[in-house]
Amino acid sequence: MLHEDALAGQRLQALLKFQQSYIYATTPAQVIGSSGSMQSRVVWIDKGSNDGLQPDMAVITGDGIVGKVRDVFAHSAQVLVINDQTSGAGVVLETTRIRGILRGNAWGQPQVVNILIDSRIQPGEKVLTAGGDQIFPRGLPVGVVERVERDPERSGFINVTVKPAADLQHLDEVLVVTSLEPHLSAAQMADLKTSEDLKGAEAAADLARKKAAAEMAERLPSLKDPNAPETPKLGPDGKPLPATPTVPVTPKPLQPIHPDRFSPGSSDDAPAPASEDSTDSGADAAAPKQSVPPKTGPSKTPAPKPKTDKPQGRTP
Amino acid sequence: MSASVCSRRRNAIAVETFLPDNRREFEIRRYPSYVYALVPLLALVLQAWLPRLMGRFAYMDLPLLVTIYFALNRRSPIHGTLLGAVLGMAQDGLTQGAIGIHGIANTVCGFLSAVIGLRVVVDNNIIRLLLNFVLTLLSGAIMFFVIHMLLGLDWRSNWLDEVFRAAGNAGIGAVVFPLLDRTQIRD
Repeated sequence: MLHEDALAGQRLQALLKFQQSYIYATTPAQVIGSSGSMQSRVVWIDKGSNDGLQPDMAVITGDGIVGKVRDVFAHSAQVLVINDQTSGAGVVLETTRIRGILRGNAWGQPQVVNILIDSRIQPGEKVLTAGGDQIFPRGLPVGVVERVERDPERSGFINVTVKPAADLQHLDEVLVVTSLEPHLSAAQMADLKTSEDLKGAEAAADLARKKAAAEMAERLPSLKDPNAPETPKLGPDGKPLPATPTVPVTPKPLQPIHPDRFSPGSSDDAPAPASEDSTDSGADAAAPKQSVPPKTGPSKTPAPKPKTDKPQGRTP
Repeated sequence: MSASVCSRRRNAIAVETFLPDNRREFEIRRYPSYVYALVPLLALVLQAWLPRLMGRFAYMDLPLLVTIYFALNRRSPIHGTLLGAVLGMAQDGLTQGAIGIHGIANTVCGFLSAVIGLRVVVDNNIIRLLLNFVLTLLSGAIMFFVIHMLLGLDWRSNWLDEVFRAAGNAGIGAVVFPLLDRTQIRD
């Protein structure tokens, strides 16, 4: 009896230490019973609505998550443990950052389901809560990957069996997370205030530097700040002139050296180049279409090149 | 001649062992009122509390065991059915599943136990052991049928756990039934 009391005292001490360092508000509770059925993995705790408990509150221990509150009565509550087949928790693997849903199998082992077969998951990898289910706070330990096996019912998926961090078979004392608002201790509040003060000092120093730079700019107007925005030009009435919209210049396409019927500007009838003589192409448009082979030679006489005083290369 | 008479007498005794023949064995066993009230309640409390101590080795179904015992000894199908229904639904209240899963299973087992008690002498411990084992397996099969077929839930069962549960129930019954026999009201 004394030995049992001593063990209970040690467990409570560890739980208290965890509760004091945890940032969210929690209520300790004792497990008073179970469902008595292997088809339903629930436990009963000795706290209820009179103690501020509500459905869908997370239940944890210092080692990891246990489950969530399902039914609440005045002085007791039912907790659905994570290894039940109807449970579900959003989890993420610590290293690979793969997300999945944790639920129990027929043997009472928690498994992460809905994971694709090409995921590289190794045994020993830690599993944490993802926080996406709005029940379990993010980052709480869930367990460690025990083994990875193919889903027998769905090809292309694997089931990752997890060894839970909390001892789900021997639950005695648990903590119910009653609020997700950060609840900081006095030391943590002091640390937060110190960091905010430091931030404020840095901001004040930055502001002073900017003020000094502005004063310098005023005293030395010739100095141009390359980072300063361009000041708009003012008209005769003192109002800023509207910016003239610059029309983007459309680059002209180069003229083809050997134009054919596919060249831009050429007609379908004659493989005439895109030249200024549009009358010829208009006359030929009425004629029936004939497959005319493209001219190989340049059809357009090139413009005479300006004479340059260039010595002609002598051929050897 | 004497050898044939002896063998016929031995066969008659063997048959009489299992079949009620005299008036005494047709009697309905009676118990004090507090036994009817306390024993089922104790079974429910222990069913909820003992798994905390035994962990994953809690292979037992005490409310079903109590249903089978009282149905066998009361020899009334109505009594067995009602007791199974009440104890089963109380057991469902402890779980998070639908009310009536254990209720239906225990109702059927209670009815069958009472019908068997009318036909067979069940004071023999071996028969009680076999009966507990078979009826616990039947209870598991009925629960699987109710959950999977009637409720349509995707629930997978572990057949090894069911066999261990039946064996555990049979072993506990072999110990508890003689203790409960002592609480009978004797004429």
